[in-house]
Amino acid sequence: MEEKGYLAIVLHAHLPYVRHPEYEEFLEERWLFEAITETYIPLIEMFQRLISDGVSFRMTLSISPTLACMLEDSLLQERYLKHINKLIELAEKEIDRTRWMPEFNRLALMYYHRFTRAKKLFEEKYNRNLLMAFKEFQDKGFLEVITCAGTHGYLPLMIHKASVKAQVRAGVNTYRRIFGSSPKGMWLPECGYNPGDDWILKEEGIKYFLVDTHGILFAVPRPRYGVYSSYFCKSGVAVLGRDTESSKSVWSAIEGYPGDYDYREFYRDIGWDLDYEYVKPYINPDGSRGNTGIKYYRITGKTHNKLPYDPDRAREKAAIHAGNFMFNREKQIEYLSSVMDRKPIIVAPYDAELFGHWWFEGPEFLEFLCRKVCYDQKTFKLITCSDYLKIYPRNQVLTPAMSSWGWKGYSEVWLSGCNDWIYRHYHKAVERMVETARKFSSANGVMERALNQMARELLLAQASDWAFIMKTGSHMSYANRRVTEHISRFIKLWQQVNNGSIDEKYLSYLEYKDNVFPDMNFRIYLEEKEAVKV
Amino acid sequence: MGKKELEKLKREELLQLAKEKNIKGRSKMKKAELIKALLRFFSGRKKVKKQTAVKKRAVRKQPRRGLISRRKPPKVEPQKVTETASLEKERVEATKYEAGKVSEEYQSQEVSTTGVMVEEKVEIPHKYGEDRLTLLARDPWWIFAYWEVTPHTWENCRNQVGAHVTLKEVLRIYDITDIPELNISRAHSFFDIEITPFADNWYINVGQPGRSFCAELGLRTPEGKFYPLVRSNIVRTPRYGMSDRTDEEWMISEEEYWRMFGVSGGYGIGKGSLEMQEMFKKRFEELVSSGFPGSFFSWMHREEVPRGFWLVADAELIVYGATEPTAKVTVQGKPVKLRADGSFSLRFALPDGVQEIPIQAVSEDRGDTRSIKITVERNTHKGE
Repeated sequence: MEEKGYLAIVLHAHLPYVRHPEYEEFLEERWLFEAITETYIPLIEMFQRLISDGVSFRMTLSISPTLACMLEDSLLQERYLKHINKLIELAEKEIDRTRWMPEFNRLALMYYHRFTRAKKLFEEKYNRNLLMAFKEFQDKGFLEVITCAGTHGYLPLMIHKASVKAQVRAGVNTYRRIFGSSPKGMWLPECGYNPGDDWILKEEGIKYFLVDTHGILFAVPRPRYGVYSSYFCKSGVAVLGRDTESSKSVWSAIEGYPGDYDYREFYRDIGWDLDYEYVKPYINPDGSRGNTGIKYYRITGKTHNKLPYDPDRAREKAAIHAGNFMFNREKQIEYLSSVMDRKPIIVAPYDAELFGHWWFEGPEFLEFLCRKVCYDQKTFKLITCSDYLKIYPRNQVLTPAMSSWGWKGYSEVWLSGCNDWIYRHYHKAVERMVETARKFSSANGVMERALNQMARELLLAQASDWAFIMKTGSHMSYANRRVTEHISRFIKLWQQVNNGSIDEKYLSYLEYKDNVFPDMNFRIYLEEKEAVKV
Repeated sequence: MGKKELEKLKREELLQLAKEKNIKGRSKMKKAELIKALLRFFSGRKKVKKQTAVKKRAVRKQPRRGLISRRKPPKVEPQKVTETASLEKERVEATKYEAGKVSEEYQSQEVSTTGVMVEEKVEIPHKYGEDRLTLLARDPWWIFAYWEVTPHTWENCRNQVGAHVTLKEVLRIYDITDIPELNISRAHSFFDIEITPFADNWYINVGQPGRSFCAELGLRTPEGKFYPLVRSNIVRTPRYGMSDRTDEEWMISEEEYWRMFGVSGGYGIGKGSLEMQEMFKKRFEELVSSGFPGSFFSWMHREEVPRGFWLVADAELIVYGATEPTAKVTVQGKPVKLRADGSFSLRFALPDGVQEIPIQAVSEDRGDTRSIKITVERNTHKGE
């Protein structure tokens, strides 16, 4: 029997560029380290197992260019090793400490094995560069890796086309440099789409992108198949919409699987629970309490009396949830295929870091899901968006509505009283960047380096994460600091370039500090024709 | 926004401004404190101070560290010594501004890992010395505007009107949907918003999805004559709801659309029908406002279960000792790593009940054995 429809799981992996060579240790760098240990490596291990067991699956992974640059950065690689070594040391101590408490002792052992495995995979298997793992899975035909805007800038609030273009180009260029081919798809940061942006994607060779549900439902003209088919924008770039039902079952804090009482509790970490002196070397660099990554309890319920985590029970739950997820998709697809004259596609995009970091059992859930879809049913198959476009090369043409997947569906998260001050600086900087790039389009030597660094500072300032953090509260001063620093550095360089008096020492310092995009060429801010002059 | 401008505002207005800028502790601030806090916000001065102080310290340390690590005889120039001494005071002062994240130790490490270190003053201007009004669409119903008007433009306009006239500062919003070449005189409609003096941004409720708007900031006389100072870019609010346009080739009836939407919107399968249409329309809003957490950072916060007065207490046991460094030691039959001096210590989470802890040391040649047994009992009683 032939399949009746398709499911496209899309994981979006992103972290802002956080790298502070000027400090021995830096709290916010742990975002990356935690994501490596808890999400990226477990996903890699999952892919390895699926492949070696001969499970046929297709999945899409968006790796943001800033994350890619961090994963290949030798300083951060070095620091990750240091970090994982410390975790292993802590896990060893924990094995001893919990000797008389078997329910915790087996968890300490579990962490010890996870950490040592992670280290081995990181250091030996992939020679510290995890990007090579994803490249390998892509080359083997299981994974489709797509790109994202350069620094994850939120595109709908950019009023200059040149700004959107530079973000897109930085993403495409980074992808080509790392993966040696052109990306088929692009993840728009926060799924933020503004009508017309697709023309820029078209220019850079992008074949498809995703929007949130209402981006398609509110499109003009009326979409023939809701969010269950691909469409073309007038530019010829394909667009697909997120399915709400499959999102909800994973994302929702109330109804979602990750809140199950058997799953591991994120907030009970030994960094908070144990004797201060004992955990001090493993918590925040400034000595304040924080997460270590070793967590012994399950969610249990709405109570402070948490019960010890039981990995077997949690694993069983993950299998049940995967079965439930699959069953619901089967029903959905059976229904859709009865009312549609083509096979439906369900697009289920998630933040990659949800799996493992927040939802500890997430990678297991995904693995169960892939296995079950492969062996336990025949209604649908896993697919990528570009596979679907090969099956259906003819699609309705429409203009999606402006939308994002943020709270309330539009731009409010990134534009409110606590972060709206940043836009006047962003916009001015972009104008200056474009103007300066035109003026000095044939620059070389130090001048060219300064212009490239201007572009880096501007892009780094634009990361959507800063506005997001300012809005949500935690690490707010860090976000403020990052925007202020990058804009300040940009302005200084801009002055120096225009005065023809570049402070080389300062420039080298910035190149060493804000070293994202090693292949940066400031001409990404120029129109095609202007850039040719060089 | 300068000090003079701020001083002209009432405390309430300053408070509002402080609220917009998310300045902490604002409600308890006096007027002067509010002005100070706002100035600090606009100039980023607080950060500047912190940054420069930190950097200076780092710069100072560089030569000294460098000399030590390269093991060269310390060639200290007399001039530099005095500089260092005078910087000691700054160093102490600087610690006041530490966020707690950066301790002295990290600072000194900083230098040892880098080749380049530059003193950096971080500051951004609040104004760029230009006339500008920018609109951004926040959602289908709201637009955000920020602006800046140079004193020069301001005075020109003032002179044009005449100094004796009382003027209101207003934002005039034009609906210019589908009007070519930004011809404001042909706008479908416009409305004015009176702006609080010295405000430099505003959220405007236009209430109309899928329309194009542009704005002018200007001065209005009591008679209603409008003198524009600066004109904005054009923005289009996102369209909202099902499109009326259908495609001939990809025809879909309203009923079918709702049925599809029923599935897209997660209202069960096959429920979509005409009579449910009204309900669906209401649920459009639900759909876009459902707001799933969308990022790595959204999980860092969670609503806590309310907790009354509380106490937690637990006990751990440290077992320690020493023997010949070459001996083999076991605790409860499990081998223990000895430190170089032959000492050891183990830390155990101690549960309720009796724990017997036999400790045994065997000499390197296995000729000698010593053993000690410790028995510990823990009883926990929870009172009320």
